[in-house]
Amino acid sequence: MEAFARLHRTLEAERDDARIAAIGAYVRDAPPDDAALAVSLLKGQRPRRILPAAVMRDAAMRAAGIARWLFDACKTQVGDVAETVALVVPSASRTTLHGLAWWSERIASLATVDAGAAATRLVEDWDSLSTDARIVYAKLVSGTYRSPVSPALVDRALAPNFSVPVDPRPPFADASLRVDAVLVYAEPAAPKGFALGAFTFALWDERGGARTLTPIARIDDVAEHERSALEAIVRRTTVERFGPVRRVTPTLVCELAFEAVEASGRRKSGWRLRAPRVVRVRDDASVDDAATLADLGKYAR
Amino acid sequence: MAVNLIELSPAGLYCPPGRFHIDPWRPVACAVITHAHADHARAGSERYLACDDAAQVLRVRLPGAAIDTLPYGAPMLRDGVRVSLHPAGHVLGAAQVRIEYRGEVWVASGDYKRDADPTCAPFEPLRAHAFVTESTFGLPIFRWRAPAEVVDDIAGWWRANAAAGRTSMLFCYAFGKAQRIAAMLARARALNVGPLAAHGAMSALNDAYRASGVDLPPIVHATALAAADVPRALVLAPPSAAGSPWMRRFGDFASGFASGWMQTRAGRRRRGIERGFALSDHVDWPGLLATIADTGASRVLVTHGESSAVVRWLREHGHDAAALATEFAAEGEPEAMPTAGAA
Ligand SMILES: [Zn+2]
Ligand SMILES: [Zn+2]
Repeated sequence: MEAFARLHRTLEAERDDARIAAIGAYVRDAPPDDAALAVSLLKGQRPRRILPAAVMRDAAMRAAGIARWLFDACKTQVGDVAETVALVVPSASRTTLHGLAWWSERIASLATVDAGAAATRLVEDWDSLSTDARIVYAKLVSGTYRSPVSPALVDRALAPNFSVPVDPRPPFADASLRVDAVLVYAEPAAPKGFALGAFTFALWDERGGARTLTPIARIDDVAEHERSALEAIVRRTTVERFGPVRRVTPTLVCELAFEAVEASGRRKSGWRLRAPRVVRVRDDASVDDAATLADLGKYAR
Repeated sequence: MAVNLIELSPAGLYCPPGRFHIDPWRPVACAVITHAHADHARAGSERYLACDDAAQVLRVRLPGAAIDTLPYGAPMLRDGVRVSLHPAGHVLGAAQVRIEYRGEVWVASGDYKRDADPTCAPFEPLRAHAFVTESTFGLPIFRWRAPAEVVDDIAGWWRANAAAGRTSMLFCYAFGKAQRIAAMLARARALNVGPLAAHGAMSALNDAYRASGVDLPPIVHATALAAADVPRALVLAPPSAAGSPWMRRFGDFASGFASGWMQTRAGRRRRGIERGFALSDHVDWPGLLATIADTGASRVLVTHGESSAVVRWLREHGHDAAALATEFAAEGEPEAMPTAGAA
């Protein structure tokens, strides 16, 4: 969340070359699910409103120990409720390392609790976020997040990250590495578009004792035949939407090909795939058959 | 309560029993000056009294004026009134004015801050029956981050600009902020990025700081930078230099502005500057409330900026508070702000 907040602040302030570099760096370094969500937000997808601004304002007034007139005086100076909320609440006493995707799920769950519990959660969450991160958080809660850049600029920034280098000819293609992974997220190709553009896949993560699915790659290089199968399964199994990003019930296994795997301390999975693509849908495999992060590690040099 | 030790007169804040003004905005017989910012130290008075740490800068600002000085804490007696100056932590030589008369103590803060600043003595909390406080940033949206963190941000910005071959043009007030940033960059060991330079308007002030014993790193005259050094340089420039022909020599530079007003997006937008760094020489909201509590004052008089919000908050919290309609610059310092398109 802090990384995305810093990116947002940079995009508000800097000129295009610095913006493009900042988006590229974020997408390269962020876990795939954070990157997927960030790209869709920056491309102009508007999050839905989770709580009325008044609930957030009242919670902020209580946390800051200020009356309504003083909040309003602050808002007059700031010009924006979310930013006012972020600024008046006392500085955080804790920090967290959770990313944008984790926070967006947590924010979405605010809609499922009553107003009193939501207010308590807001104050608790603010206490672990920087001012810039609180601004993004508050704008996601109130559905007022707006991208500071044009979709075209985001596309320019992503081009070097996601363009696949000239495909090796068949004798070399067989040399690429393969892994079976589970589809967990999907998002549209273009802002407000209906066709799905990118898909996020996960592997089993057994590091913590439990067996959970951790995203490993966000892929937009999908052949037409596989794409229609993916789109069909996404339509049937979407369980939650965050803006354009759909979270699906993990049911579909795909075989991914990639050129190499590199250790990445900044990603939750600990790995980054180079030039990943979807080779085929594994109708024959169940989710339990998908690979683990440990399997992937064997491919690392 | 006994007599008012400070009240508002047409020429400014006035001490009736001591027959002197504090930071008057019109010429008077005896002016006690809290600090050398232009809206507090105005020319034309017959005699001035200021802290000895402020003397060098004050002589730059008020050439030819008759200036008496006192060290911090040393009392001066005048018509039975005991006057002393105490560190305000705002800029070099900035003082709170403590006035004691027949057992009653009033303190006028001048401008002050509670955060660390290697270029001036730290704020000294004083006890008083009545406290006259500034309120430039008297709203709860103003809570400063640790200054060292903000300076790290400035250093990171400088490093990125240098890597991109672009001069870092950092606008900031010529007196106080520029020297504080220079000293803090040196302490953060950030000066290996490239040369630190300053607009000519700052040279005399930098010299006055050094003459006062403040340790400043080497600062190059911006016009004397070697062509090869220009893209790696960080140039400190007064806001009034924005858009001037002087800027052209730096080509495609990156612009930043260091001021408490950079705390809000609206403040950053208004200045038309690429990067804002919220670094202030004024007290923030928590610092203001803590300072008022520290004084133990039963009466609080509020000057500058957000006085109405501060007065209302204090009254709602049981204080005897009132605003004083001073003519100090509400925006902190009176210098022109850079405008959109200036860079
Ligand atoms: Zn001042
Ligand atoms: Zn002032």
